[in-house]
Amino acid sequence: MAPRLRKTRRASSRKRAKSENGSDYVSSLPEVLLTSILSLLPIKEAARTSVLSSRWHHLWKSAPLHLDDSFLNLDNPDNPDVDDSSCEAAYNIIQAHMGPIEYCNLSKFDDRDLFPTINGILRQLSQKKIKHLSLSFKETWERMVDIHIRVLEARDGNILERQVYKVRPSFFKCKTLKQLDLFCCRVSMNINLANMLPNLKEINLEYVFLNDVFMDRLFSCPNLEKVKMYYCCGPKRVQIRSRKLRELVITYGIHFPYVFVEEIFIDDAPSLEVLTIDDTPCYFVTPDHHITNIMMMKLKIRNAPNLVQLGLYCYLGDVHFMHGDDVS
Amino acid sequence: MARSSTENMITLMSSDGEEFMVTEKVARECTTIRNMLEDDCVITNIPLPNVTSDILSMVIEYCMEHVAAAEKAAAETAEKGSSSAPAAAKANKDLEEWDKAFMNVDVYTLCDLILAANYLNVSGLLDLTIQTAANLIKGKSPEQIRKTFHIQNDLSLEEEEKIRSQTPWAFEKSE
Repeated sequence: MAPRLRKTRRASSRKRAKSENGSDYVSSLPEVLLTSILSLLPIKEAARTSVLSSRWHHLWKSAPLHLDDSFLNLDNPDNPDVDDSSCEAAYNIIQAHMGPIEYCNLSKFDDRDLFPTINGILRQLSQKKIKHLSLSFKETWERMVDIHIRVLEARDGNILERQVYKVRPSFFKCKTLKQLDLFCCRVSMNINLANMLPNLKEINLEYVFLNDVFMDRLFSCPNLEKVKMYYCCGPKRVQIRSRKLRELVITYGIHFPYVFVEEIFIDDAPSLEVLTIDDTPCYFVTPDHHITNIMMMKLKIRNAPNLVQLGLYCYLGDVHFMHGDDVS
Repeated sequence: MARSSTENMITLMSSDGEEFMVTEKVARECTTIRNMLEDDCVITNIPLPNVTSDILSMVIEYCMEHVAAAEKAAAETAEKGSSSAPAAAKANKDLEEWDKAFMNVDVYTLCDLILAANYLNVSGLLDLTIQTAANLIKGKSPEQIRKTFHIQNDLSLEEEEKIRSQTPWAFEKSE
């Protein structure tokens, strides 16, 4: 193939005879390009560039932040306060940063003393235009099950309050959040927040204790497209009216012995394409830990014209189709 | 691999007045040029006052290589009905190797390429150059980074100390 390039000078032109040699050329690149370079670096390396010069210090504070605490590398097996220092470091970074914060993954906490600091972090994140938050607590599923059984048995009145972190309702006013992943924590609301998470597109909840008001508000988020709930508990009845919801996944595990909901009512979900309910045995556990009966869950679908994939695995409840939807 | 002789040729003119004749397909790799062509399809001569001939020849070289790779993959798919996975993987690897060799440039050229890729909106080249710049920072001490990029430190010792104390964890030894 004959090259169409009229003249290639590359080989001869690598050397630049300009006065740029030796000058601080990289720092003169537009800010948006330099910040995209920084955003590709692990947080520790990016932070190190803050001492290069005043320009780079400014960049570090203003580059869209991607904070992943697993990269903070503060782990020291001999240091029992890893959680504390990691939490504090995350707090300091977020506080010093001017925003926006693109992504924040906090995954190293399990100490209950840190709950107030985490509240502070979430407040800062919300102010600094967080787009994607992933918050997980170091818990085992055995412990989550145990806590839930205690709640069911009402043996230990405020175990949830003491043991499980609750995301403050005020966080759900955040206008920029697009994706939220929560693991092993708790969300409950008593008041109907108006205009909750107006830009939320995707939410993943795993081992999260929820309540009815939150569920109700969640499905009213105007841009919500994907909801995945694994081993979550709390609400009894979920009614879904959502213009944009495309995918809903609800999963229980064989090891999570309680019922999620008694009824799921897809009232009006014109964009819903995929609905997966995987309720591998959802038993009901009595206070004396005997599995007495298999709870029936009811699924009602009124309007979901675009539903093309309906997956019900080990499904033991009733399915009602109203107004004759075509589901194949 | 024969190209149709009717393929449109476009002339790109660098800031220092040098002309480069390329196929429309190659020129279209630059989103900025593609938009111009879509706005006005009779255009055949495009002045690029922000790009020197050295850099423009490199951008064109990158675009030609990537167009050729895409054409080759498409031709193979058409021939066999579907592309075989190992062959596609090898082609990808070859192109990655080519990119890597292509990025063997000094930091000034790299900066110019970043600017040109941004201006001409060649997303693949922009990703490649930005990633290369990030790789040059990785694993280096601030002093080494300054040296690599010829960054002039205008901070006083006190200021630098103050910044370091704000993020002490960033300056701890990893291991």
